[in-house]
Amino acid sequence: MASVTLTGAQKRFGNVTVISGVDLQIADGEFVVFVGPSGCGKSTLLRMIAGLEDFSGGSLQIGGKHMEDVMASKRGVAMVFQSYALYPHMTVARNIGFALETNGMPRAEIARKTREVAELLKIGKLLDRKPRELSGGQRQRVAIGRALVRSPDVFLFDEPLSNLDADLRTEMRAEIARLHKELGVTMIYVTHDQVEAMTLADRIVVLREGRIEQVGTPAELYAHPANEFVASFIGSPRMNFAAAADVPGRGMGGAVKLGVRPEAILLSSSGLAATLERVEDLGHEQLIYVRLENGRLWTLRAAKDADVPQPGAPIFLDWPDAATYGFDAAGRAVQRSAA
Amino acid sequence: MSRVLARRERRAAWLFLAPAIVVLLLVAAWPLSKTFYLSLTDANFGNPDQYGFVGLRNYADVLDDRLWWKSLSNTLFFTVASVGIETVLGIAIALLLNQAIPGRGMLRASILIPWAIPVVVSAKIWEWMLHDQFGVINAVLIHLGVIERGLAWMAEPGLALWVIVFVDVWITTPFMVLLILAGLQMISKEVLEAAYVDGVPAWRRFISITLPLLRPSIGVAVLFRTLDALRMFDLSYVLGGNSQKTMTVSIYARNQLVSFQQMGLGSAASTWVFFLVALAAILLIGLLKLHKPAEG
Amino acid sequence: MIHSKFKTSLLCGSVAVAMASAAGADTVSLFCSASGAEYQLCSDAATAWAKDTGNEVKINKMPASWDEALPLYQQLLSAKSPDIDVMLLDVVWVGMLKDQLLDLNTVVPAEEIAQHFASTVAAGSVDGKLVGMPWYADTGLMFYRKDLLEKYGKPVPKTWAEMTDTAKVIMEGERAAGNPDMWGYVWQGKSYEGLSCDAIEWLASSNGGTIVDAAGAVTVNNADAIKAVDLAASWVDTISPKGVLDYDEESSRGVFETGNSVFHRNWSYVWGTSQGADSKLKGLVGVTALPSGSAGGPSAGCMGTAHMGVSKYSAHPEAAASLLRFMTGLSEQKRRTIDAAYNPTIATLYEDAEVLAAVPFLGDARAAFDQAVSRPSSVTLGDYNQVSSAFYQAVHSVLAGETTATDAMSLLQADLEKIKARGGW
Repeated sequence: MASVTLTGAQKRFGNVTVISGVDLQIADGEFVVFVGPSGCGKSTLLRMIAGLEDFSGGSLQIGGKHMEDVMASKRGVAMVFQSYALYPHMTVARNIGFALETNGMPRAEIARKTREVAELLKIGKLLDRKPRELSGGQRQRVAIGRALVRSPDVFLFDEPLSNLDADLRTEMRAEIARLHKELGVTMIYVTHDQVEAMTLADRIVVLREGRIEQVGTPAELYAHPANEFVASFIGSPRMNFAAAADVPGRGMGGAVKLGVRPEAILLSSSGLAATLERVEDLGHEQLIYVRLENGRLWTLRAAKDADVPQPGAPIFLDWPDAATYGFDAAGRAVQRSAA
Repeated sequence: MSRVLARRERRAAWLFLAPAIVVLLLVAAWPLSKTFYLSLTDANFGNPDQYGFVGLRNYADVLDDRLWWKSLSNTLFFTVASVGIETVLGIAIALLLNQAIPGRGMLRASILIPWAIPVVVSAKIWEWMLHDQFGVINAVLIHLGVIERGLAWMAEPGLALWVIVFVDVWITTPFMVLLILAGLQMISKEVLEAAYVDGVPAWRRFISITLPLLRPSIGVAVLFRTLDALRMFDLSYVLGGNSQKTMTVSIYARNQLVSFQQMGLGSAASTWVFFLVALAAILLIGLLKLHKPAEG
Repeated sequence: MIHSKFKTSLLCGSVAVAMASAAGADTVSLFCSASGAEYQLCSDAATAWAKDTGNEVKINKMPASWDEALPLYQQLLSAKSPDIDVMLLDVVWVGMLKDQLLDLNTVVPAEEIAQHFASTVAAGSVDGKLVGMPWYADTGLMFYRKDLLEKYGKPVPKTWAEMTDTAKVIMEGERAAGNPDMWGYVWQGKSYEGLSCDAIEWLASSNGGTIVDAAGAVTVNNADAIKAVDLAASWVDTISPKGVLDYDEESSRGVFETGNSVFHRNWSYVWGTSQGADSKLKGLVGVTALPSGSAGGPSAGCMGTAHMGVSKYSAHPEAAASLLRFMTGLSEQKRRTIDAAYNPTIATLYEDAEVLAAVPFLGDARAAFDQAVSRPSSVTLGDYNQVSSAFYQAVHSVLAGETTATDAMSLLQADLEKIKARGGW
């Protein structure tokens, strides 16, 4: 178990800079999730920590020791890959025990550890199978088991659930959360799915174009996004935006753009005029799409039994002042005035 | 599925297969059975219409010929040596070409050149390069001080077959490289990365992961090359002519059939070659487990 | 019909040519040897014939190796192909192809046949049928460096042992004098028909017989033959480069004509090539009959006469015969002798002043032809190739040092008897 510290981490491929100066401290036992749109460098950053990519600049400390020039195998990290990366020609047991085998651990001990890990992951009955005989979820468990058995200080997950269907994803998410709780080990997890990020993370790191946009707990990022990008990236459906000039009476000092989360907006008899376009009934709630007069499409959330007008009906939108987010010309969040 | 549908599908399957079966019968089964038929006769090229049946005598006569056994041992030696060296070299070069090295595209294309040259042309080129008095190989070796006087490569009893092996390796290693490279590129990069992160040393990653995953590719390549090598004719014929040192079973059969005009005996020898190749194919497919599906 | 008309016209050769042209242009297909100078000679002559007669001639190149030419002929003939009319024949093929060639007695006047040496006519005949018209006489000859023999004060060797000693002395002397590439003797040791010729010369000149005797008995396993092969094996890697085991006529000639050998066994065409305007050895080469096994013993050059035959399946037998007569006739043979030292098979040419002026050694060569030894093709007929192949393989293995002559000849004897039992010549 160990803390992880990145200082000025850089990665360049030829002339292309993929990671430009990332500073980040991850505490021992913390669960940190890297999110960001594809191409933001989150996987590259994870692979740099794993030792699969070298540093073009900056440093990495794991457990207080410099690791940026240390072989992957000596960093005390284990990684779970998006494709599971199981050894297709080996049984589940051998897949889990292979790293120990090459490190010269006695057979009996390998067998014991393999069994232990397999029980923990509920794949004890599958030990003699080959990967091709397993379902996606089972393969993912084997991949986790293979990482687990080495008792690493830091666990790295690279989009581990993206190849699973929705149900399995939920199940495995819970499984990973449980493991983190039981083992208390440092975990770094890369995903593009903000639901995974929100549900799993102690802290979320939002990345864009190789830079950190914001680091914080899920609640912090939701409530106090540092900028327009984070505000739009965290939350589902995403925040509604409009130019400050288009929303009279809602202005904030210095804000040129305003944002309101869909869940904050109410249908009202007065307020911002719009036209109802479409309603999606999700069963547990309804999503309402409305067209503002300036042509922007906004999204609202309404309770499942709320009374919603017919599409085409003119409506008015209202929300508490406290729910308004303001952004300056550079996209930075503007502090809400005391009022 | 209903039974009627099943029957209709079966009929369609046969219909689709029919052209292939007809072609196979025409180009493989017919000449094969004709050869087998002739092998039971004493037919002669000089007068191919008059012949009598002699039973299995031709088969016994082939086995009774010392030259047949010499040809067979040459052929087996050639096969084991050339396919063995080509496989090892093929894997090595494929691994190299699979790395991101500068000029990789050019290298991949240029390595195919020997394979693209017709064998007879290659053999003639090498014949001249290996000439004992005027050959460039001897000139280079003498210049480097490795040898004092030009070696007569094809005339040295201990060297002739190795020369053939060497030239064959030069010609067909690209084929091996290509097949193995294709296999390498099918191996997921993440599997090897996983092993790397897990601290599995490089040689162990190669032995325990890369090689087993390459098995189907290597197996197919070895099968193709072995069957080719067992039937090898052109290279030996151009470089060694009728020399006993380099005679292969195919040259032996050709001599009986063409030079000696013995259609019966030549057909029997050809049939033995066929059995040899078939046996090798069955053994290899079993040994390399090529009938089993590939992993992954 | 055509046949009888043709016969009448044969009474006079010139009429035959005129008739052929009057009858309209036929296209006759001819096979010429592929090697440079010889191909030129052959195609020039055929073109001249075509011009004279108004016919057309299609010239095909034979495969460079004559071992490959025979199977090609056999394939064409057994398919009864009309694509082949007139062909160049090696003397040993006469017996093998006899059933598929025209009997030339029916198309060539007897007096024209009688102009040729009786021995060559006999070699071209089987069972009274003349299937191969003699074209040029040839035999194995010994070429040597006149200048080097003089320099070292050595006579032209009369026996193989003498040749061996002389070759060794001169080779060592020349190497010491600064030519490290010098050799004593180059010949044809490759595993092919040419080696059968070289080896039968050693045997016959040493009283070792001719593999199979005239009565068909296998005689190869005898002490004299073994001794002769042993002597030849002793040359390899001493006075002959080891590469001689892979040499045919052209590669051995290459070594001799670059000036790197004292002695050279080859066919008479080497006289033409080594005396050519661009030859490095012009004026330095002598030629003589091959040495004999012992003092006063026989010299035995391998009989290598070339013949011409006409396919039985030719579509234009008259035109084909006309071309054959032109090619083998007196004036063409004379031209070939003067231009390229091919030895005529017509006796009167050996007394022709012009010919003797161009090829002064012709008199000596004639003596060599008289002593020439035939390979046993007329005895073994269709099995000749098998016999020859077994023979050169056995000899080659001794030369290469893989076995001893004693073992090889006794195994060969058994193998040949096996072939005889199968083939029953």
